Amino acid sequence: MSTTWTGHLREWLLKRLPPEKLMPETQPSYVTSWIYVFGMGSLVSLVFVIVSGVVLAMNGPAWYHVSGFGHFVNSLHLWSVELFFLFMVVHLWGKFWMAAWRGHRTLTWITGVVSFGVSIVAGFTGYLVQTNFDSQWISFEAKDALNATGVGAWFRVADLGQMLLWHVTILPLGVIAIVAFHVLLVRVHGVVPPIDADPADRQLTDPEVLHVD
Amino acid sequence: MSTDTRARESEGTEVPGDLVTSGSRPPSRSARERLAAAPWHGEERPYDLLRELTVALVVVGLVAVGLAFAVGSPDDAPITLKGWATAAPADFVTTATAELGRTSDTASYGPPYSTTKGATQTLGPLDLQSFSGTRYPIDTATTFVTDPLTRLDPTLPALATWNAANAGARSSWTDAYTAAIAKAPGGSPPKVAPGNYGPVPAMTQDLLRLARQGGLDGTIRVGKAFTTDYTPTILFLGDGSYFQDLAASQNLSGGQWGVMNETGNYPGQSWLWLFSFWYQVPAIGNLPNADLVIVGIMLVLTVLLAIVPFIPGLRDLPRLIPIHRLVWRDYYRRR
Amino acid sequence: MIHDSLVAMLAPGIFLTWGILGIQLGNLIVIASIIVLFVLALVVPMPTGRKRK
Repeated sequence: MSTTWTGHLREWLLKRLPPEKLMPETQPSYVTSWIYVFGMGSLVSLVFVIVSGVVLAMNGPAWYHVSGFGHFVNSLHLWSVELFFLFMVVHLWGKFWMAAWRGHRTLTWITGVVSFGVSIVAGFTGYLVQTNFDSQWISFEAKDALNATGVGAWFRVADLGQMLLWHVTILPLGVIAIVAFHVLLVRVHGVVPPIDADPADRQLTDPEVLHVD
Repeated sequence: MSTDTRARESEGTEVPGDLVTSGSRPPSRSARERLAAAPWHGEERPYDLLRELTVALVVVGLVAVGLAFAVGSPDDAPITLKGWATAAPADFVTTATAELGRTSDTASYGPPYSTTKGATQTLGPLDLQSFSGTRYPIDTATTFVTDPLTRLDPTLPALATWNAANAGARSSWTDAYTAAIAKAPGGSPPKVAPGNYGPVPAMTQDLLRLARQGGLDGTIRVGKAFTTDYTPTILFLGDGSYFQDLAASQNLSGGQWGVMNETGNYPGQSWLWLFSFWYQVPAIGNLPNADLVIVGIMLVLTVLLAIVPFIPGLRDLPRLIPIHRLVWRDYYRRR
Repeated sequence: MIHDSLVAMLAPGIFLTWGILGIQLGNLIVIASIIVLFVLALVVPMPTGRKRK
């Protein structure tokens, strides 16, 4: 039993999420539906959003207007964002109809909704830094909602520098942090059992041993 | 030992037809809740997390790259003050006159740009717009017209006339010129009827010339020590019709579901559909405080979505409409 | 009234309207894809390949 802060934290973490739970080799037999791939789909789309975003960042905000490859990377960034939201929405719908907050998974649900919200804000700032007509128009319209709520003089949607920094540092960090927390919660609590799964079900009283093909 | 059959609010209605298997207690609500909360100790199947991640990366990557190649992305050139002045000089001059006369949208916007009374969006006693104060003050006459002209050439005769005049003279000139442009054939400033407009026509023509030469885009942003802030440019553009008409032609205006749209046929931000929806409902979209109201509605709805597990009725919908029976049909069949 | 524009801009997209409802073609395709994928995910069986004991 440890006496140091470090030791206590390590013990607590290992108790909550032992390595076998973090990187399992089995999953409950009820996880057999295509609906389950959409969380992974969202995550993987996010990887492409970030990778394409890093390439755009390396070259600066004006690059993709003048470079053919830059335009392609911008297109990749746009479509991975569209896919990210597409998969996330299917994932949300699935998790709602599965009542996936059951069994102390309320925080998993809440962090999922927060991920959705933070992603929307991240996407919004992305649209603001396109340095083209669309970004001009969006900043012109968006200023009204922000001014009406009193924050427009601080969060200046037409300030390219400020919006770019939010888009490239603060919001990606926020998205990654909340998504990581969300995924870790799923690993800690496991995938939610079916609605009305019962201790008397055969899968619990007489489980089959399933072999790898 | 009594059967635990408390009807627990959190699980909704009892589902009929539960089977009692031999040797165990009747299925109870709390036993099922414990099952949902406990680690799964039942039947499992093999699962390769890393392989699934890799397959997903490849599949999604192919789709994303394919779409990027095949469909591409929109990139409409930004509207510069030079472009506006060249393409729509009448609109430019009309707008510049309104800025001089402080009758434009920006001039009467209220906080954070001006101190115009009664301009803020309020909700009962709540006045968040005033709360922030005039943190970004813009005097449209100086920011958009006289400061740029002074930087161009402080000895301009029209400027001297303007600077020497009092407020009453200035507004009578701008009002008269605005009315005259509206009456001129084709709304064209060079074709206005003769009248007492003071230095306003000359000043707006000087500004137009400065803009067409490309000098206004940079200089309009100087003076507040910001270099990346395009707010003055955007506000000046937005006070005119040219910029707004271009947006409307691409279905980007508020009343055209513009919030979720993109130029051309490209997909926009479809996830903003509900935010955009309220602007289409005249009873809400036409309110003077529409933005404040709609932001409020969306914040409330987002919080409600986050706390669905705590909302009776809403959290019972999955039970009432059993889509889950499709998801777990294999489990239910083999239980 | 659209002023003559020297700005090269995309041709306006296809926009479908029913009363106050209006949707751009691109968005319609994305939203339709979301619905189709959701339904397919529910009904298409997953290959399980189990060997029984």
